Formats: sequence, C-alpha cells, structure tokens
Amino acid sequence: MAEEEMTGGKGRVGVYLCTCRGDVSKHIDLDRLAAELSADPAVAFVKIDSELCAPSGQGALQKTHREGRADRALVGACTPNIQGLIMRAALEGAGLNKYLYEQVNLRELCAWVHADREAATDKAVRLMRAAIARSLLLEALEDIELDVVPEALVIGGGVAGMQAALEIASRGFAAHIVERTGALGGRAYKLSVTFPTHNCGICCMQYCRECVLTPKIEDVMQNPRITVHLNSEIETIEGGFGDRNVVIRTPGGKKELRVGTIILASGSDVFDASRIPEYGFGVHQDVVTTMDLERMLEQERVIGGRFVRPSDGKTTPMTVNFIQCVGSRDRVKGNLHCSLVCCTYAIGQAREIKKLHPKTEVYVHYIDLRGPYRGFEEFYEQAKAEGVMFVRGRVAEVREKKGRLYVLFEDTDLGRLIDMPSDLVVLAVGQEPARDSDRIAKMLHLQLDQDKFIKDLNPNFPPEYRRGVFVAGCAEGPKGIRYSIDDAKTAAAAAADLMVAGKIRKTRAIAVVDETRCRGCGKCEDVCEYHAAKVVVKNGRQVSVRDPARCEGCGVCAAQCCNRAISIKHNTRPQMEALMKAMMAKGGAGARGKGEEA
Amino acid sequence: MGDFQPSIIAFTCAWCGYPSAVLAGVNRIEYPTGVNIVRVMCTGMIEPAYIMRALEYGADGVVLVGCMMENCHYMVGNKKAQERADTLRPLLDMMGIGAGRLRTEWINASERVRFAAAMKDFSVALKGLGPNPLGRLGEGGVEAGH
Repeated sequence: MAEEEMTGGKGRVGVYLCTCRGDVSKHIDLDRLAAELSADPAVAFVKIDSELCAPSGQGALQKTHREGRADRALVGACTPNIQGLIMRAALEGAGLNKYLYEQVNLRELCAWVHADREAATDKAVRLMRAAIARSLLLEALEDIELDVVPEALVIGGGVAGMQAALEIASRGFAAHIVERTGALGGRAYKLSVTFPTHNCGICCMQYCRECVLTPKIEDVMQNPRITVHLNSEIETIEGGFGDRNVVIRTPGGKKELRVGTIILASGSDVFDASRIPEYGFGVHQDVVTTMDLERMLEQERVIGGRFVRPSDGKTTPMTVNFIQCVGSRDRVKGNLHCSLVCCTYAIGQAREIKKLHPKTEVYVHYIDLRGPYRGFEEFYEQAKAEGVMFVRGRVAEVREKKGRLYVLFEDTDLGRLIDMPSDLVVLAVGQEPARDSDRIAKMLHLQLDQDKFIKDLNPNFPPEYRRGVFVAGCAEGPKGIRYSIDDAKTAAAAAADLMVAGKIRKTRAIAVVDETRCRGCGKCEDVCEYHAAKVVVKNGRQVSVRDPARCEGCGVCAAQCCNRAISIKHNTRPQMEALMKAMMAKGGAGARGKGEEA
Repeated sequence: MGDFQPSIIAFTCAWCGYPSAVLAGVNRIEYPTGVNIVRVMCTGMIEPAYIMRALEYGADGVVLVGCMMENCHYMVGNKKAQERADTLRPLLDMMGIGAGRLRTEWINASERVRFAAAMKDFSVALKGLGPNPLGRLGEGGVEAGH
C-alpha cells in the first residue's frame, strides 16, 4: 500500500497506521479504518505507512510531526514494547513529549488473531477510538532523574559474581561481594575437569594441583576496589532506584552498605537425588552424585589417595554406570527443564575415570546427549574412542541383589531389557533454583520464571525497567561456566554504564497523592510493597506522601484508597474511563467518551 | 440472540497478561473479536469502580489477566485484584448483573494458548448469560441518571 494521508478535522491527535508490510493490512481494512477515524473531530490527520519502524517510517513520523498539525501521536501498529519504543523515540526526536505518545497493538491483538477481516476492522476501529479518547487526556510529563551511588553489590561469589565484581572494579567502581559460604569460587571451584579442554582450562577455577591458587580468586582478593564478605548473607535491601541500603549479616556482626547497582549472581543448587527413590541415592553407598564423584576423583588426582568404591573404601570400581538427566527433563519427580551442563560434565568425568583406570568399564545412560557447544562433538567422539560406552534409554531402577548393585534399563537401540551388575552408579544431577533465591528475588522485587529461576527482564526493554538490578549466571537458569562468565560481563557492563552516567531515568507514571482528599489512614502504606508510601504530618494533619525513587507505579495503593486521593500519573481515572467508554460505545463516529462525567 | 457476540474488556497486566496476549497473536491463535484488551501496569490497579464502569459502559464481561499468584511483578498486585474481585462478585449477583461477568485469570507471560483458551471460554460463558442488562439501558439510559 502506498503512503497516503487523510485529513481529519482540526483535532489534536495525529494518527499513524502501519501496514507492517502487509501483515496488518491483510487482515484489517486500513483504508476503512482511516476513513472512520478521520471523521473523528479529535483527529488531526491519519497517515498510513508501510513500515513505521524502518528508517523511512521513522523519517516520515518525524517529518509529519514537525509540521505541527498535531500535538500528540497515536500509532496503530505492533506491540508497544519493542518496535513501539523505536517509533516513540523517533517522535521524541521530533519534539514530541514521550508521555503524549500512545500506541495500539493492531497487529498482535487484532490482525493476527481474527480471521474475519470485517470483524477485525470493526475491532480495530474500536481500539483506535478508545486510544484517541485516552490520548486526548494525556499530559506531557518529564522522566524522574535520580542519582546513582557509584558502588555495586554483587550477591554471590561464584564465577559469575567474581567476574562481575572484576568488571565493575576495572571500570573504577567499588564492588562488594557477599558470599554465603566460606570461599569464593562457587560450584565451578569444585569441578576437576571442565569442557572443552578436559583439564584445568577455560577459566582456571579448578581445585586441582595445577591451579589451586587460582589466579581469579587472587585477582578478586587483591583488587583494592573489591570488598569480599565471606560467610555473609543479605538481611535486608531497602531503598529505591540508584540508591539502596543493604544490611548484611557477617561473622563480625551486621554491616550496612550503600549501593547504586546490584548484580544478583546467587547461582543454582544441584538436584537432590534422593527425590527419585528408584535410584537408591542415600540407600546404597555406591550410588553417588556427580558432585560426590568429583571429590572421589580428587582423592586420586590431587590428594594422592585412590579412587575407590565408597561401600568398602578399598576396591576400585570395575563397572561404572552414569545415569543422565537425574532431576532434569522429568516432569514427574524432578524439573521439566534441561540443565544444559550434565551431558558435558558427565562425559568429562567418564573420560577421567577411563584415563585413571582404563580397565574399568564406563557406561553413560542417556536420553539424548545435549551439548550445543563448539567442540562438544569432538569431546564426545574422543570419549567413545577412549572406550566410554553410551547406552540410550532411561534407567528404570537401581537395586541391590545379594550384595551387588544392578542397574535395570532398556537399551532402546537394541530393544532389550538389561539388568547390569555395577560397582558404582553415578547420578548426573541437574541444576535447580537455589534454595534462598525466592527470598532474594522478593527483596529485589524480581519475578521468578516457570522453573522458579529468577527472571531477568528482556534486555530490549529500556534500562530503567531494570531499576539498577541485574541478574547474572545460574540464578537466571542453568548455564555452563563460560556462559555464566559472559553473562556476568554483560550485567556488569550494564551496571557500570549506569554508574558512569551517575543518573538513572525513571518513569513519571507513578502514584501521586491529592493531599486535600487524603485523610492519612495509612492503607496505602500497608499495601505498598516498595515502602514508597508513608503517612507523615504536614500542616498539622496526617497525609500520605510518595517517595518517587521507590514508587513503581503499580497502582495497588490507588485502588486501595477509599477516598480516591491517589492517582497514577499517565494512568489516571479519567483516562481509563474515557478509554473504556469509547471502547464500548456502539454506533458510528463521535461515540467517543469525553472523560470523567461523574 | 443467536448472533449475540459478547463484548469483553480484558485488563491485562504489562508483565504477564499483555505479553501472553501478544504471544497469542504471534502464534496466530484465534479468539473472539469481542475481546478488547486494555494494557495496565498491574491488575492491582484495577479498582472495583473500573469494573463497574466497564459494565456500565456496556461490556458484557470483564476479565483481569495478570501474573501467576505468588509471582506478581509487583509482588502482591494480583492478590489484591483477586481479593477485590472476590468481594465484588456477590455484589454483581445482588445487582442482577451476574457474578459470571467478572473473571480473573492468572497466567504466565508465555502461556499464549491458555490466554486464548480463557478468552474463548469466557466468551462462550457470556453467550450463555446473554447481554449485560446494564448495557441494555443503552446510550443515555445510564447517563440520564447522572
């Protein structure tokens, strides 16, 4: 569709419709929509473009807005979250206040979900009219700007946390690492052979002789800008954007920190294998987890002992069976998600056993081998060449018969049920959310995802959405070491950017109190999770006030207030009512609401 | 009555409800055209008066779509919304509007199929209930009372 324009009345709303290269116009009759909207006296003009988010479309938006026929903009296109931000920014560049921008998602909420073109067009008219009604009541506002304290808190001293702290320090800012255990390094520190080098390699974090003084831990400990708090836990985090007070519990008593940004790198836990009783973990001594196996291998590799069966402490296991996906990809007894790292580390351990004891038979029981990493295929081929045997099929049960362990499984490649005697069964346990992560998430007002890992916001969103809080490493979901490190670098860079700028912008769409209506009852204070509402005495009477640094604009307090003393900027009652009224209006043009009538 | 298409106002929160609707769109999962989505920051900002207004303006049903319980982006918004809806429902019955015209759905941002299914299901239920009696007062009917 060619660019075209219809001129409406002398209204103030400039309407821009996007065909989305046919994606919208195929399902919605934009010409009819434009004609119906231009009849609205509030509309200055209706312009149709084929790609508003493309440079050409942005240019057209700017050019049209500069002509000055409308003082506010309404875009009917796609979702306001992604491309909408681009279009809004373009209009801002042409002088539009961003709070006077309104967008209707004609594509995802209308064009793509309705097959009937006529009905979809009718709905589009309704949605656009509703948005026009709201648009007329929008106010021009300015963002809130807050100072950012130039210090960072890093929660967790694993590889991700250490890397994040190092990155922040390298940019010249102070970082505090708060680590629950007595040592830095996290779980990566306990692994002896890592992918892909099958040795101490990629991150030099291993507890093996070669690098027991790991340079990274040394780097962190020696860095004058990094303070490490071991055996410490977060007690409370309070405050708002860019300035938070954190109380930590250390062995030396409580300490208070004041930070501007927070990196949450609290990691994950390993699955508790006793939750799957068929595998006999905790019942049979020779059933161990991969983390136990690390310590057993360490005996021979590092400490100078021997790799032996735990049940007798003497004999070397001659048959070792690895069971993959313990607690992962198991909707019934474990977690639905794939833990991503177990195939890789189990193969590494299998190879290590083969290297130390070539006569030992090593079987890996897998459902699928998943290692979407560069070099994994070679790693796997090498394992096969070294004699590790891979058996496809989920193990049904591990039983003890006459003092021997038997592993019962179906080899799905052979189609045979096999009951194999075994000396050592190794359960490749997956990762799951750390036990305390929901408490920390709550403190930082972060959501959890469907697997209960901490959910970081889409990085496409404007940085202010993240409120100076960044999630890195396994706290966000299962990750390998190098991916955790990459993640930490990204998070630290984003945090450092905020501290370099020294300012954080925050939406003005927050709660405001009409002090003449407020009776200071304090209900808003009770419901506010952000401690943004507070009742104070002002001019001799109790009124509620808001801390703009803390208020997130959720509106829970506004809905709670029986005096209607609280309103949310940019989401006011008149705006909402006008929107609903126009949306429900039957009949033709002009059936638009005019704001609050009551 | 046979071709009665209920009009629904769906208040969707910006973090789960709205994204699930967007994903339903991305995946081309159809639902009735009578569903009109209003994006709000949190379902916790929907005061009972908004729901009453929506019904007064002629909506046949109102649904609040927010994050899963215990996982609200704003911690407790959905819980508050649920409490308010629970309080309002018996009143809707008393007023002769019908408690069935108000629903709440707590879903994850990724649950596109559930979103569309919930909208379809609500629409079917509202067809059974018939048009909103307040809507029949028509344009002016309610306004005249002011």
